[in-house]
Amino acid sequence: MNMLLALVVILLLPWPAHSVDTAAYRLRASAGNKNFITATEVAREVEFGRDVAARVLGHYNYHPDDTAQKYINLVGRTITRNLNRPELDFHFAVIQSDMINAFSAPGGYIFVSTGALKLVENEAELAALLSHEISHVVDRHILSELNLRGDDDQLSGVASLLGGASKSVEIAFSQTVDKAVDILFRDGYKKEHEIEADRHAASYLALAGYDPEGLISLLRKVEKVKGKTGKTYPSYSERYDTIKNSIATEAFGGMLYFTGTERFKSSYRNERSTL
Amino acid sequence: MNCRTAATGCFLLLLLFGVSTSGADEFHYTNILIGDRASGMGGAYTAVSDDASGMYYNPAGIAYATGRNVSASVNAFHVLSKTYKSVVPGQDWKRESSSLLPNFFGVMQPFGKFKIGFSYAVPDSNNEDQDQTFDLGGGNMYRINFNNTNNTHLFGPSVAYQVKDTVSVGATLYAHYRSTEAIANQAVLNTATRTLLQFDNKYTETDEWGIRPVFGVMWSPIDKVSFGVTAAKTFVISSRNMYQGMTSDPTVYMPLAVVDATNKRDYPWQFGVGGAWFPSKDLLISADVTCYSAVSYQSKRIDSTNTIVERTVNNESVVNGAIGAEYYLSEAWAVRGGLFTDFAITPAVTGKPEGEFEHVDLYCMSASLTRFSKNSSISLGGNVRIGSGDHNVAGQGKQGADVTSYTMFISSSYSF
Repeated sequence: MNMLLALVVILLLPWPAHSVDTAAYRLRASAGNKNFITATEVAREVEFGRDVAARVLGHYNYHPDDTAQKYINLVGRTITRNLNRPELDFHFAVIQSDMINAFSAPGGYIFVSTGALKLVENEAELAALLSHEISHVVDRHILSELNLRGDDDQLSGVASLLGGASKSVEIAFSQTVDKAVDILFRDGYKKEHEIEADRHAASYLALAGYDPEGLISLLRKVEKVKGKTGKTYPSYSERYDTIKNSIATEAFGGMLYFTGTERFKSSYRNERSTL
Repeated sequence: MNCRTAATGCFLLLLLFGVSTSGADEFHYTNILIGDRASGMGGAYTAVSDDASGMYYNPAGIAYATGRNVSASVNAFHVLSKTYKSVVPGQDWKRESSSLLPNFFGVMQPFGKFKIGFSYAVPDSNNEDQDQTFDLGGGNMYRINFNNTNNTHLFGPSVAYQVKDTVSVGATLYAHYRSTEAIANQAVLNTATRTLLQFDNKYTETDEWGIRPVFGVMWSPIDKVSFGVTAAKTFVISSRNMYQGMTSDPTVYMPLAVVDATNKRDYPWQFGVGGAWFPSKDLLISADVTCYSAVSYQSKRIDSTNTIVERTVNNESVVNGAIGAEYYLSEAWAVRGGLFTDFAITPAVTGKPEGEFEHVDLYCMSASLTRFSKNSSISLGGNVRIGSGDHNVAGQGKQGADVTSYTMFISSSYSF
């Protein structure tokens, strides 16, 4: 009984301040399996993304220069070779718009505006722009924001929307696509998703051999042109810190990376004038 | 007729039934491991307990469970085999039991700052069909034939509360129900003269109700390490015991005796202390020490004169240990293993002429393989308990005894 009392006293004593995240270390490897999605769900994610991509191309014209399109696809696919979602087939496209923007639709559809490309100085920065958008796809941010994919329930929402045959289901699906387009064109991603995309983009760049600092240099140019961000969007300083932390945490710093200034210029020398 | 061998047979009748009706494995406390992960880890789960089976091992652990969880050990096939050597000179007495049972079901969910849940567990089950003939020599045969079922069921609610990041407390209040039924027929006969020298029939039945509160604390003083402590005891509230007996030999017929009694068993206090180390998301190592207090209570049995007599059951204090590990080969596959002890609760055998129960310390190992899909898992595993010791079930002095037990289980769990 004395031992029991002693134990209670020990537990009630203020323990030296420390951070113990019991939930984190109790998490087992199988929890990662919750991110596992079936082939059917992947197919429906791609199908959903294709509709969203069609809306994007309804707003913006596809740039007619085949060389530019080929180049952006080569750079994009260099990055996606190292992703943990080999089931997705990524497609990259340059769209005609002076706005500095890039869009990603579920399933692997990435669009970069000509306005954004005008800021890019080298291949590493282009890869950084694409990596950020790729992360939105890999981490299914749009599906998450539309609550089509909860932490537990994956893509069942999309699956049920696309699996149905009735008119009401078609309407619901169309409305969901509209909401996804609103996120892309108007509302933007959640702050935490933007931060996550920056963090992962730094890793994607390093794994593909591109300088992860390219993301910072690109963002500095965007900041210079666009100025301050809105309240719902992460500040540039926060994003720089995130990228630097990611590089430090993953030990990506101090390595010789490919920047590709000359190749970018030679590939785009003629095209840039038309972009 | 060979009087000496016939007398030996009758002597056996005096003694064997007393042990034969000791059902389930009442000489050990860790008879069937409970739950999905815990069963594979040798029951070393006091400091883990963060899934549905935690309600049985340490209810404080469910405070750290993620989401709602259902876990069901759908089928556990339990085999117990005992060999009492030289019960009759040169002849062993073999007892075997096999049970196929659903041995755990649990469901839990968050409720504000609390986690609540409900679970059902079968920590002990026995189903014997005994049929053996001993050749006593001179044409005399001794035959024992009995059926014996003995099951313990626990079911009830649990609640856990996370006091702070590093400490949680929890409690489970199980309803305890134990039912036993034993039918034994023993006969000594001479096959040459076709003479029945002695016949004995006994029947016992028990319906026992009680409660089993389980209290637990979980504490994580440093990163990736947790400790758990538990205290539990079964309190018998009501016990209905029926004894029937009939004995006859060529000269004496002792008619049917029927006695209803309300004598209650006493169960030990159980204290558990466990530690767990979570070095990575792929590996978990845990260890438990469980102490059971000594108990002494009055029981009854039917003696050879068909009389209900009191007997004192003395179960000794026992300390059992267990170590277990869980390793994820990938996100989809995990293996578990464990080593544990299951020491005898009976006093050491001294060779008393009135007979004694077995005293066999068991050394055990367990293993399981789990396949995870998105929100569910299925496990296949088992454990083996093996030990050698002594017995004196026929009052003929200390003899050797071997005990082997196998449990195979298929379990599934679902998180939502």
